[in-house]
Amino acid sequence: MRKTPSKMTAGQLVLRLVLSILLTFSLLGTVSSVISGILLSSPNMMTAQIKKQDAAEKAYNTLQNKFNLAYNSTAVPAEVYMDTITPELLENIMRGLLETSYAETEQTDWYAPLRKAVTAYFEQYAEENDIAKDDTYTQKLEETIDHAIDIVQDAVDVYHIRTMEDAGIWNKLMRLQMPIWFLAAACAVLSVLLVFFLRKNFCYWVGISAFACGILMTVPSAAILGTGIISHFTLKEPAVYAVYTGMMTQLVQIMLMLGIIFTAAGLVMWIGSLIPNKTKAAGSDA
Amino acid sequence: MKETKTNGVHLPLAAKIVLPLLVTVFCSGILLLCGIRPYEAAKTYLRIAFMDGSGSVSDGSTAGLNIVETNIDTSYDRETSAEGEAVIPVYGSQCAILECKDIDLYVPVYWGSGYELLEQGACQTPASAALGSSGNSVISAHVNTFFRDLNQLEIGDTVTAYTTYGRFTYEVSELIEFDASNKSYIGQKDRDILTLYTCELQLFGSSSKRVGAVCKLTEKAFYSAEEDSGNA
Repeated sequence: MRKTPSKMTAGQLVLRLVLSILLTFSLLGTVSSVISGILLSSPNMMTAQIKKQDAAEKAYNTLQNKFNLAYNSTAVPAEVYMDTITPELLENIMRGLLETSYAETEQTDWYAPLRKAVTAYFEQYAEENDIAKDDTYTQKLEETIDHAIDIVQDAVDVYHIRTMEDAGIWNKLMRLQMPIWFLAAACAVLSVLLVFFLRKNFCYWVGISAFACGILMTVPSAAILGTGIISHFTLKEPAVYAVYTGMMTQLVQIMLMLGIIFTAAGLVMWIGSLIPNKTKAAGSDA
Repeated sequence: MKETKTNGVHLPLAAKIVLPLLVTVFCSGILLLCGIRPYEAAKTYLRIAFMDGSGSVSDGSTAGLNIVETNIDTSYDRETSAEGEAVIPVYGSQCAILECKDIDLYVPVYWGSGYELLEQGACQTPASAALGSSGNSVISAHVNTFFRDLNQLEIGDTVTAYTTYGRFTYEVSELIEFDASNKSYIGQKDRDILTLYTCELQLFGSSSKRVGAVCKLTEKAFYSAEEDSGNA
């Protein structure tokens, strides 16, 4: 009669161990998919980085340099372009680009003043130098405007969304919105079910899962921040570098913070579950 | 009542302390094993995305770009070998000196891209083959600065690239013109070539046309290991 319960105990132990491991991964899945879901559903985190990293000011300085350099090959002074551009305008374009890409709507035409300024400069130049406004003139004007818009668009597309759209990556990411929320919901439901199954000696078994999950988030995040690998990011355009590294740092910090919370909660539950046993054991010893 | 009590899982205290650590190690192992294949698939991209080994931190103006000039010996006359290993430079560092006596070209080449590096010299695309290794090494510069006379190159001209680990001689085999959106010349090739290009020179207005030359490798001269380590 006594052997039956000990077999049951071994079976229960293995089952709880397996459930606890599953709970570790379901917690990890819930956290990762919720963060990914937030990122994929709204541009808010990305636009916040634009403001935080002063990306518009950086892009403005980059444009100033680029148009100054371009002067030698285009003979169009940087002021022609830069007089129509302000850091505020660039920030609006950056935000607008993100918002329209998320909402898949038409983009506002931000470049009408730029076109007007370049056209006026070309016309003045043609008048002063007796240049005929023929097909070559029109072609040159269009090429210069397109080139200038390309330069500005490159500077404001700090998350390289145009490149991702061209490569078809952006659409694929946007299509992941619903599946990622389903995954988050599935992981959350699974976590609740597992917690329910582990309700006996709840603090110990759920504490193990929370502790393991916390360590799995804390150690890699701390390693990434500690080694400074994010600062090795290759794209060195000031605005692009600032928002990408800022975004990556923020995500890793969130993971680190959640990891620490999970680890601490796990430790409290785990140690808390041991103390009464010890007291009980001490009482029984006595 | 007694049987109900014995049904509960009863682990010794030591096991209760060790078990969470074992679960953590076990879960880490599973996660590492599951991560091997995705890591293998993403390894190349990660290496390219985080290849700036200098680990420099943004100072606002240069966004962490650490431009490093390298002492490159262009008059090396000691032992060389046709076989050797090319070195992938650190992003932003000078990786070579490019010389073509036929058009009086003598220009430092930096590993990377961007207007700040293009102000210093020519730039070698990091996605291209390092000089001396197999494939297409792609170098570009502004037409109004370092590659002003690139359009003067003629088929048969000799172009030499000096690096810290060797000297590589090329012969111009093709003069090229292509649209900026056409990536066929700057992509990877199965031939050992050097592609040089710049913008088409315009007196007024910008151009989307690129001009340049494809040069075939004619001689590899890797410096001897002793000299290399001596230099280092």
